[in-house]
Amino acid sequence: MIPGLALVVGLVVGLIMHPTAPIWLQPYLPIAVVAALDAVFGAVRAVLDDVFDDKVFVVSFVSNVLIAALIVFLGDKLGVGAQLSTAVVVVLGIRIFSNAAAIRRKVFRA
Amino acid sequence: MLDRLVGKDRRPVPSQPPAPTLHSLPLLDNLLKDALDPGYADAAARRRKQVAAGYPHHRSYVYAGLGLAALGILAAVAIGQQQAGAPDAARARTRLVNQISVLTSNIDLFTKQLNSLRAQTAFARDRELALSKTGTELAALVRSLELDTGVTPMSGAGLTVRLSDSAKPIAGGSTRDEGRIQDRDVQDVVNALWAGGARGVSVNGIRLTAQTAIRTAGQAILVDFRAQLSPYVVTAVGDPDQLQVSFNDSPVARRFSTWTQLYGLGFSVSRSKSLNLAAAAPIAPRHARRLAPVTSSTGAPSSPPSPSTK
Repeated sequence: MIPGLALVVGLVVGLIMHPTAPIWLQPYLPIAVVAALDAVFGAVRAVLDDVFDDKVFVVSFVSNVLIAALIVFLGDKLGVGAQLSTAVVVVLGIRIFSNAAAIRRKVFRA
Repeated sequence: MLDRLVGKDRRPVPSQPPAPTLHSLPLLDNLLKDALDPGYADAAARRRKQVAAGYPHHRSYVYAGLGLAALGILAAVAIGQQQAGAPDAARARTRLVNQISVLTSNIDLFTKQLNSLRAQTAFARDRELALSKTGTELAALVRSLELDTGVTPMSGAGLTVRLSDSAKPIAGGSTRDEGRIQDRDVQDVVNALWAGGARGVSVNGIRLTAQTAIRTAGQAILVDFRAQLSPYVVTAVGDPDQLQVSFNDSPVARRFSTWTQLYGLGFSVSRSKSLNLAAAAPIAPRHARRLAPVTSSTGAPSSPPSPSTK
């Protein structure tokens, strides 16, 4: 599967080249990863449901990452950074689990 | 109930199990329902319309591939940054541990130097004192005083008394003191040994002098301000028979023989033919009196001058 290979290639490139993100960006990296994971899980579920569209995937990926980072950044400025980041992680986690459950149902039952 | 989950335009929502709706919490409802982005369903409907209208549409995974590669790079960067940051606490700890070991070895080095300087001083003093008769008497007095006050190591036959906390778990939390050896227990044992004729006593290797305090601090017993934990080994050098007889008759030994059964405290007495007591740190003298100039036989001062240490 090409996308799977692309993921592996991305991971390997990232680990080998070890690009360092700028300091002001570093606190938002973990949440960006979780948001991107949410988009990826949604995409896998869409593939299994046969409704996948790569434009939708890219848009949801980018917007998830940007919005999650923006929310956490805003929270830091307002002083509720920890709470907002917790909320974002909780919501993304629920969505990831929901998509994962649907994927599991599709893979192991259908 | 299924039609409630279908959107307003009656889009089919695939792979939705019939889930109970929480009327008071549409938030969770929407969260679970929208987990699969509705954009996918829209795009699929559009694609189906295109295919039905005759436009060819080939699915491309290019953008998906790029997105996943971006995710891979993002994850690698985040993980790498996390790994670089996490050992900060471990690095600080290893730095502290290194400092501790360096300073401890410094202390050992300085203690060795101190001991050798003390030995040199004692040698020089003895050499000076040996030049006159008063001086020789003085030197003998100093040597016996040093032995009694614990400044020099002592070895010989003697008695070892071992005290240990109760091994049973203490009911009622750690506020119950009955299962723990107290400072007065160690004090009583030490005093009984002195009274029995011990010439030198040490607790857990710390030689007792006239100024050594045995106190409880929290859960540890401080001997000469150094915290000691159970078991407490009290070593006494002296005549083993006399020591054993007088110690076994002492009140503290009789008390402990009941306490070992009541509270489970550890108590054992044993003789030994060769015991070594370490030297204590010398007490810094606070008063000194200058010796009158000594002559060999006449003119000896009326009272033998003695270095008084406090």
